[in-house]
Amino acid sequence: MTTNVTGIVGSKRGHGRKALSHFLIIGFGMLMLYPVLWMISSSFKDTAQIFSEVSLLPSPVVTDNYERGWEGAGIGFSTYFLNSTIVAALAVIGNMVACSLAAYAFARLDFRLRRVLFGAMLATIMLPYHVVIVPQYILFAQLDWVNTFLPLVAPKFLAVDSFFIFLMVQFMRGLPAELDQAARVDGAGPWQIYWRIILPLTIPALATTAIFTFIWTWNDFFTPMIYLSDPRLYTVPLGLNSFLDSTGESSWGPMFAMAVLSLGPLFGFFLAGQKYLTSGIATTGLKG
Amino acid sequence: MSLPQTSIDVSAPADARGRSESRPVRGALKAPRTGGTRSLRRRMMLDRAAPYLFLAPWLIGFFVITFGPMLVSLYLSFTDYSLLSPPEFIGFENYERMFTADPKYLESVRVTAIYVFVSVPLQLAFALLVALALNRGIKGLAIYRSIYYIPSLIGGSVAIAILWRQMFGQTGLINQVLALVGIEGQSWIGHPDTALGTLIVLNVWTFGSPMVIFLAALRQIPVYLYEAAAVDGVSAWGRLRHITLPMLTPIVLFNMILQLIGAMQAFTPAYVVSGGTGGPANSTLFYTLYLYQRGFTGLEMGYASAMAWALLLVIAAITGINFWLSKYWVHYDD
Amino acid sequence: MVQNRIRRAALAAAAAVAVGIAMVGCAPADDGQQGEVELRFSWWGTDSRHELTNEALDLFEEKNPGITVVRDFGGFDGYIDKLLTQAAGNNSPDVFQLYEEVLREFASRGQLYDLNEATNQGLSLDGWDQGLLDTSTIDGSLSALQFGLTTQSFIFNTELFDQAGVSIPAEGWSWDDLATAAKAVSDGTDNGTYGVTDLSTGYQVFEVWANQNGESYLTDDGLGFSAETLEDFWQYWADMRASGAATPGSLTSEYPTPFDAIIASKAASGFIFANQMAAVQSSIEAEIAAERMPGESPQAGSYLRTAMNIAIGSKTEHPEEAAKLVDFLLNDPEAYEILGIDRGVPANPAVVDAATVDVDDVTAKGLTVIDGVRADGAAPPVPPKPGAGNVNALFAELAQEVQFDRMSIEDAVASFIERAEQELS
Repeated sequence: MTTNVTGIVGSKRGHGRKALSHFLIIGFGMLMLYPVLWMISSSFKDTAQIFSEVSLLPSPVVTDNYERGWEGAGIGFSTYFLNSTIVAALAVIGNMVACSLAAYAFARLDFRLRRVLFGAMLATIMLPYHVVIVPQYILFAQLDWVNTFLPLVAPKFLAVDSFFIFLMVQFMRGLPAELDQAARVDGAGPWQIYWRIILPLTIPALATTAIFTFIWTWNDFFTPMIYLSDPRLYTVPLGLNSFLDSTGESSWGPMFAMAVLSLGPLFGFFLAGQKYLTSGIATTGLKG
Repeated sequence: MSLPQTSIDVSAPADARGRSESRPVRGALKAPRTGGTRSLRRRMMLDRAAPYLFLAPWLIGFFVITFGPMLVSLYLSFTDYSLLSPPEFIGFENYERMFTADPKYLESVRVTAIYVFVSVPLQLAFALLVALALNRGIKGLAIYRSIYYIPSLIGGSVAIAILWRQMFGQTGLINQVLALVGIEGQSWIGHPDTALGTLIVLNVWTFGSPMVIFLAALRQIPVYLYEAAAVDGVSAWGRLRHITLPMLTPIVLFNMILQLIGAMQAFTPAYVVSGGTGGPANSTLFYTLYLYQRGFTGLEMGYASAMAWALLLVIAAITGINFWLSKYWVHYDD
Repeated sequence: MVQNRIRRAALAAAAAVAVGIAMVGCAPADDGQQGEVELRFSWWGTDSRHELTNEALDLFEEKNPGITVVRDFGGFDGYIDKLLTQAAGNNSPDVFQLYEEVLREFASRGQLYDLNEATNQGLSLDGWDQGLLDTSTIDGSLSALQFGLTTQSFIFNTELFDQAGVSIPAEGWSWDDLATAAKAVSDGTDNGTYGVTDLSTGYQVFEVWANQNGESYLTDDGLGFSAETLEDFWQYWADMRASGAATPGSLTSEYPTPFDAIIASKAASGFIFANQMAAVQSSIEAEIAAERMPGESPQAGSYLRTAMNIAIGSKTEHPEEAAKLVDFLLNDPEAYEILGIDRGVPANPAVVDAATVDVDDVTAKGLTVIDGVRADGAAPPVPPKPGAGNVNALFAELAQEVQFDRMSIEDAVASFIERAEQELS
């Protein structure tokens, strides 16, 4: 675990300053959190009161929203949560596997087409998805994958999220090349270098990939909306959306209630993955 | 930096490695079983094929799921396509109309440019500052990091956009707070002059993602660099300037490029906050929102495809420039 | 050791993937049991509509044991995207709701099944008004049927009006009456509450105004109104803003629809479609009063309007079953005992009684307005041409330029006419 040296110097002088910085950080944090607190408080208010009463403390406190929200017009949020979990979990695995494989090739292996393919990979990050969505839909429709989870999950196993390839490449390039060289001299092949050296050292990037993939997949609305027509397959954002209707009355209360619940897995996953973000490399062995 | 004692001859027996003194990594390599020139040739072939084997999933995904549809959309950009009937080829008409006969298009470019070049630097600055502050070994780092990250969890959601509309409205929270200090606020979200500002603030509020990445990168900076500097008596500010920031530059580049690309493609905040209209008076008409309006609401998928390709070219240009400039300020260790 | 942790994680992941793939591949089967037909029916709406519709569909399945209805429902936003993408992928639902503005687009491109054919397969058109059937007949084919009728109307927050001591306008009122009443309400209530929502951005309100002036909004040949009419309309609202009777531009922009501002008690009156009144009443405590549009004499401008359509996809594999479903949803009184007037007044007079069996006060008021318009309203326009969607958006934009004093009314009108004609050509 790295400890930062900056705290060592002048620690006796710093008590007052430390308290101040704690205070500032907490204060700023509260400001950041206010919208979330408002959302939570709205979930305990009657729909009619949500926009008229601006205070954070609901009066009266209403738990109805959670019950109504959970039932969600027939199918129910238990199904939506299950579906979202399946899709998000598979997406995480897919991205971690496929993107790390590709990143390793770009970062550590030398081959003729490397520059060209790297450029191509970067280019795909830049493509606005709204346009390929129609040709992609036609492709998946012809494969008969529509109305299943396959269009949401299979692309992850094919490293379509180039963002994470790029992220891992940048991390891997920060690892000293001597590690690879040493291993190669020891007779290791590329797979072993990948599996035993590079991958363990890229855990922060893998954790970042896992966390972001989970969150983005969980919150993704457009793609599930296009591909899933059977409500029994709906994910949570689709479920939330069915509470809203701009042409009529929107059920804000239940929607906020379910939105708050949906924060749970997101936050939980983030907390669980957090500690991997900070496991840095054991650097003592690199000293001369 | 010394290398472990070893021999170059790959056919040497398994235990003749000088690995007893230091293990470069935990989980040391088990010696591979090597059997002479036959396996050497096999391994050389595998070595050459290796990159492509590693890339296999990506290659399939790229050609089938990304590149193929990209080509199709390029073709569509030269057609009139309503989604309900087959596309009709019309040559460069879409591109001509975009640049010469569509004032709304130019407006969307202007709005997006302001959004991108104001919100991204602000967001990255916040992310970096907070990451640096949190990296000082403060107790409860995990909690603080989570608090600052929560906005990013829900930043793109409908619930937050509704809230934003509420907060920045005539009688919303922001004005109530301003009233406490005696300032009478206006409707920030309802006025074309300020509506875009609220979306910029929203983007900056969700600085959690780049912040988390900066934190991870800060943790990867080798401690011995700081220890050496402390021994040399370098000040905290000096350590920041000469160790931390230079070591962070690859990640700064990474975050910058990705946030720029993301901001240029931003859609959901504007869509939800403006109710899909890009209003008031086109002040929140992001490029992709207009693209969506043309493609799906106006049933002009060909025109929308042309817009998408124009965007792609701009993104490519900006990214290319950034990469080219990066050799002047980014410091890699390999 | 990190190595072992990774290995274990990888094994777990592989197992999860295997299970996942097994589950993922299991899509709901297309035709479940032998002889069972599966129809897909798509609609948009709110929670309450979803409940009612699901109940009605359950009843349909009971009455038709060989047919299962797969229900595809969600909010209005994104509905058309999904429908279009499905159409592009040759994967349209069998039966679906469609709003008036896109009817022409779908019909003229062969996406809709000719319902005249369906009359031989279980769909009955007895009792249907010929005029309604004509408006839905495009290129000789009956492309859709009205899934609910509504009309333009005005609602008032009685509490705010009482507070200001202004009486609710009565039938036959004029736009000047609105101006006077709204100003009085603005003056007589708190700062920040206005007599009426600024309606200058609403093409649906302008449509009525144009009709009242003997013109129309959009016709088969393009724009159906003169520059003066639009200038008068926007000038009226500019005066209303200046006098404080109507909400200022930035306040109006905060609310996606006029009635949202009423729900938030920022405006005391505004435009609404008759079938949306119940939703407003349930969101606000004050009692809502309703009336027909102002300025309906000497020439009526409001008309009996299709709230939404129901159509059969042209590529459906089960046209007979689809016809039966449509017939049930349009003509069966038992269906309407459940559905009520959530989608508007049923077009088939024979089921109106069943639908209106148990209505609350506000809905009853809406029905009165609809009956009045049915009796002497203007003629309904033809379904809008392709490009109309862009024109409607343009209308709101240019109205906003006027609202915020960024453009003069004459310039805005000229710009609108020029660009709108381009869109429609």
